[in-house]
Amino acid sequence: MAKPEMKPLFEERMKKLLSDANDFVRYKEIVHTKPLNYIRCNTLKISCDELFVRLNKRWKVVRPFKEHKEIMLVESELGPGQLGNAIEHLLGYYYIQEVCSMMSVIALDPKPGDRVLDVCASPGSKTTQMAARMENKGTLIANDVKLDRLRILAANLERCGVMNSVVVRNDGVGLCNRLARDGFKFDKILLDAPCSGEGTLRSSAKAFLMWNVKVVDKLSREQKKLIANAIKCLKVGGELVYSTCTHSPEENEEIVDFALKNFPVSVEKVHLPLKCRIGVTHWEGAEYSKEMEKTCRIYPQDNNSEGFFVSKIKLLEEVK
Amino acid sequence: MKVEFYNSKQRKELLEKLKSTFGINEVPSILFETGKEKIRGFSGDLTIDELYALDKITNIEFLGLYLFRQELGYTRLGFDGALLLKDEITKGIIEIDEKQLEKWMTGHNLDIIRERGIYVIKCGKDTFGCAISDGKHLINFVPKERRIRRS
Repeated sequence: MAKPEMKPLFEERMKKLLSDANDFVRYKEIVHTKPLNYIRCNTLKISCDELFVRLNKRWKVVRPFKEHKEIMLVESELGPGQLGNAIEHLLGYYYIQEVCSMMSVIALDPKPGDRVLDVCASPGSKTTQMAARMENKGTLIANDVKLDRLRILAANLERCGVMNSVVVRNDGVGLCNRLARDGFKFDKILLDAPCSGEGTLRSSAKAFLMWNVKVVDKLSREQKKLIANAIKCLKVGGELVYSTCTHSPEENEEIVDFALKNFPVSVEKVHLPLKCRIGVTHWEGAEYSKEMEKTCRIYPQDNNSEGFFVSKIKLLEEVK
Repeated sequence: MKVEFYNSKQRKELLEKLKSTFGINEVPSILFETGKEKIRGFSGDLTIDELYALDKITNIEFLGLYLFRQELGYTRLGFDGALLLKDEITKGIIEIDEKQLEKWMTGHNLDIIRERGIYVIKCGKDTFGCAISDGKHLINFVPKERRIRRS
């Protein structure tokens, strides 16, 4: 099958985002390679050390991050579906998850006893990651809008032994509105927003074909509505992580900048175990707050990963 | 949300059954029944009143984790219920070997003769749900989505 190519406008935008021509060449090369096989140990069911020893009897598995023993990389060559069909996966001892996608929850850092809202939860990689960090204590409300996606979410929650979750079906904007109105406030909120998926080129070739700048603009408008309503559900001092698997500033810094300019929030620096580049402060004629430099851009060529964006904001006072 | 939360009497009765069959002393959650005689547990910190208030505005589709099921006169541990409570389970255990596990995890009954009753299947440190013995076989209850797929 022919190698999928980037659309010219997409290529032009990526060249503007990246530092130089060599950087773009590295980017263009890596997006045509398969992503690595990362898994995350589900500490609700097994300890990281025990799983690591078990899996290493079958495959070559390494733990690339000293501070995050739950993140494991399977270096052995694997056949199709082999990771998903292993006994340890069927038992819910690990979750197959791209390393970038683990960063949102590391940034949010939910703790046992927290009240947490996952606005766009399906298929549940980050929801199960949060439940593990919460040790099944506190409450985790996981929302999605479509029933078929919720069923996948529910199946993953069951497999991972998540018992502190409440799975609800709503559009994110309406849900946050009603929760805020009725006084349900949260310590932590994850808004891993629906996005144009520019960061997923390595795992999904169709992302090359589906990309469209009109979609980017449409999503940007929806993301602003989502974050505006999600902020209203935060307790004062509560934190919200806004993340996407895309590179377009309209869906990333522009959303955080919008939140900063319209709500009493601060942008918090995120510390992640991957190489991050600072967020952009100007794009296509738009100027964003310098605070956007606290946000985190993850590029595939920096970490041999997919692409991602992670940011964190804190509510400073009650939203009027 | 169509659920029936267990009161203290119902919880005590269930725990007595679990203790006599599997040696389980405690289940760390609120318990409730959904349809199909399934018993689920919720370990979150929302009260039952808060859950009802939440349901009014959010359409709760799933709550907590499926733990047990009342079936054929037995209280059967679900696949994940058995995993979650594996350290609590002290009796009613059948240990199987790797070869039997392969058969079990592909959805087949096992030709192991045991007294009629319900048992937890264990291989090494892991539990693999429950089996009901009819005196001739161990009947398999591994959910389809948790079975090994043969290519």
